[in-house]
Amino acid sequence: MSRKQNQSLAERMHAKEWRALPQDVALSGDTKSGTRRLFGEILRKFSVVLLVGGIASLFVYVWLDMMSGFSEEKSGPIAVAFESDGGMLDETWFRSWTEFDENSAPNLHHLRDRIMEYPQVSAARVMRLPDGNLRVDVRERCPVARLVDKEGRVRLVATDGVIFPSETFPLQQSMLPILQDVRIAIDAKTGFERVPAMEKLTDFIETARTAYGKLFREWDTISLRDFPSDLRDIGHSWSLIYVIPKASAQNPEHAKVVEYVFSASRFREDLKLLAAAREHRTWNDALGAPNRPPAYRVLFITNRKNPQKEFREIRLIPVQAENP
Amino acid sequence: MAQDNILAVIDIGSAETKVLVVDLEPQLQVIGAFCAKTEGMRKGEIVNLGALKESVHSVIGQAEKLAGAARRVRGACLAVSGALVGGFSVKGLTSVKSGVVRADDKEAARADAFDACLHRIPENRHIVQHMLRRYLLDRREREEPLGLSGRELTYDLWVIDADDTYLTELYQIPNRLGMTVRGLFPASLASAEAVRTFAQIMDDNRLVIDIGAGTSDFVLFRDGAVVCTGVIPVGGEHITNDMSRGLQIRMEDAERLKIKYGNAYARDDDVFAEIDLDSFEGELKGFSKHVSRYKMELITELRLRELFTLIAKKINAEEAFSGTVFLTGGTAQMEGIGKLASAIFGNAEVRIGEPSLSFARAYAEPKYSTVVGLAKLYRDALSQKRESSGKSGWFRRIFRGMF
Repeated sequence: MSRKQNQSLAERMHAKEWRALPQDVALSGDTKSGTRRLFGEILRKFSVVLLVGGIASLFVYVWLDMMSGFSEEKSGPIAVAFESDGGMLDETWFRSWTEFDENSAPNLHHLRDRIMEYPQVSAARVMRLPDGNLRVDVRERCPVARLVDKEGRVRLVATDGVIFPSETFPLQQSMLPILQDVRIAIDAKTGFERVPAMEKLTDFIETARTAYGKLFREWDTISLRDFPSDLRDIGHSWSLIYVIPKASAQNPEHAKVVEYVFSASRFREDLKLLAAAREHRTWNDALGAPNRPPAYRVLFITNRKNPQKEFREIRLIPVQAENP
Repeated sequence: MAQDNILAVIDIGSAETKVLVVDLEPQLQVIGAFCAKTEGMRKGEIVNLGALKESVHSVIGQAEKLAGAARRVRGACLAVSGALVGGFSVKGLTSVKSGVVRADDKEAARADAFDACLHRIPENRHIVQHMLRRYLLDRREREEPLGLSGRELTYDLWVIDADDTYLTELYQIPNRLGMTVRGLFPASLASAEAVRTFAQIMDDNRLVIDIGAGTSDFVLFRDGAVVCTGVIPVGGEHITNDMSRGLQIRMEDAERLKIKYGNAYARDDDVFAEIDLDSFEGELKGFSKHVSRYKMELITELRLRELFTLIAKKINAEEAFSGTVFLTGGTAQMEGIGKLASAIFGNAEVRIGEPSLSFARAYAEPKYSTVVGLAKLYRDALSQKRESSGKSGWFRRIFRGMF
């Protein structure tokens, strides 16, 4: 007998077994026990629905409350404990910026979002204290340079490149170098204006400020005309930072050097070389020698005459003196 | 919480319904049990389905309660018995082409037997159980014919079937309580499983008679294999009925009389001895104050003698029986029944069979043998099924348990 025939025989046997008889499994209330069981089953299902519904409602309630910033009513006016790590922003700024109404329970999420809309703020935390008052912690952006627009309005550039207004800053910040020829980008996430690839420039400014303070104090303007917008382009030879020294009586070189041209990638070596050269007598001799051109552009180049031992060196490029 | 490994094992007898709620995992154990009078069943047949459902549902409910409120049972295992359950033998034949029996030959003989079974079974009946009785190789009995030489192989199959209407009515009882029937076994096989001894010789050749209230189920084993099963529509209720008529007393009195003074072997030492019905648990309700003890015993003996003779006739049809007779069921507790059975079954050793399975030590009474045996049979069948389904079955069980 073939396998197919056997299979059909097995199927026929199965169809004739007690299991093949249909069973109508359903709770019915035709006996007392059946009624009790049916009632119990309905009660159980109802309890399960009630439990699941209760849990779901609780979740929805918590979610909605969370969305509304856990708003709670407080009987009196709400006090605000304001803390800022930079020390430039204070409670007055907070109240005016957020238009804070101390008599109504605020939405903490909305409040935080409003604080974060101010470009000087890099992070903020808003908490409701158990007594119903608020605690606001703010982290500020630190400025490293200035931007002066055509109308003479001064704005500050933070270490991460974000541009923010200078109203809250004291006058001492006017010591910061001015950036020129800046390509301003708009941050897609926050909508803030920012200077691209500012991280490298911040490194340059901070290195000069902390390690070569004497040099830094003489700087007035940093031109970014050849500074890339993308950090990946920093290594290219065309990637340069132009520094224009101050034109003041305290600066002995103001009339002799029109600009310093640093490499964006090797500025540390260049700064070191410049600082060492200025300490040397020949630097002043070269700048002050008779029959020399009226002014110079200071360049830093890599000497590759000996490929095994290349080094950076300073070149003074004569330029036509500008009108005083 | 419904659990898959919790099962209600139900034995619906004519007099009593016994329910065991068992936990199948990790090992078989009884977690709840209840036994109460059955309504709506007479002499093994359903006479009032509504009343039967009511009484059985009540017993299941009580057993569930005893098992614990958290255990909600969704599956049931039932025993079938009564006049609507029958058994027959069919033979499958094949010629051994190569001269030596191979697996293919065995399969062909088995398929032929199944084919014969399907031809023989009526349209209105379904198979409850089928089992191999023996192999015959050239008409000589063989336990395992594989590799033996011969020309003609016979597969002797024993089939137990039941009427569709009876099964459908039986299914309704657990179905209406939200329970699915997962196991169905003949009551005779279940009783035989429960009273199995640890002696191989005794178990191989035995006749197990489960004398219930309405019917008596029997199964005959020869060399460890089932030879035949059967149901005789005679039970304890018939004895009560006979006593009521013969002694002219009420059925209730006859039942109590049977339980207290019943003896299956009439003692003729004092034929004038009488039992005073006034002194016997209640007031006189029959037509006579005193009943003859000898007459009562004689009535019992005659009815039981008839029963045993009927069984002996059936089992000795092919070959004379020699082995052990196990008497079980409620009526097996009657005094002198062993002596009577010994007299009828010749030299066979007669024993009163009590469930000896470790998981049901608390139910070591003959009347529980069917329900205890049912639980054991279902557990064995389940283990066998799981073994054959292998790893996938194991994974399926885990996933089913998780979700």
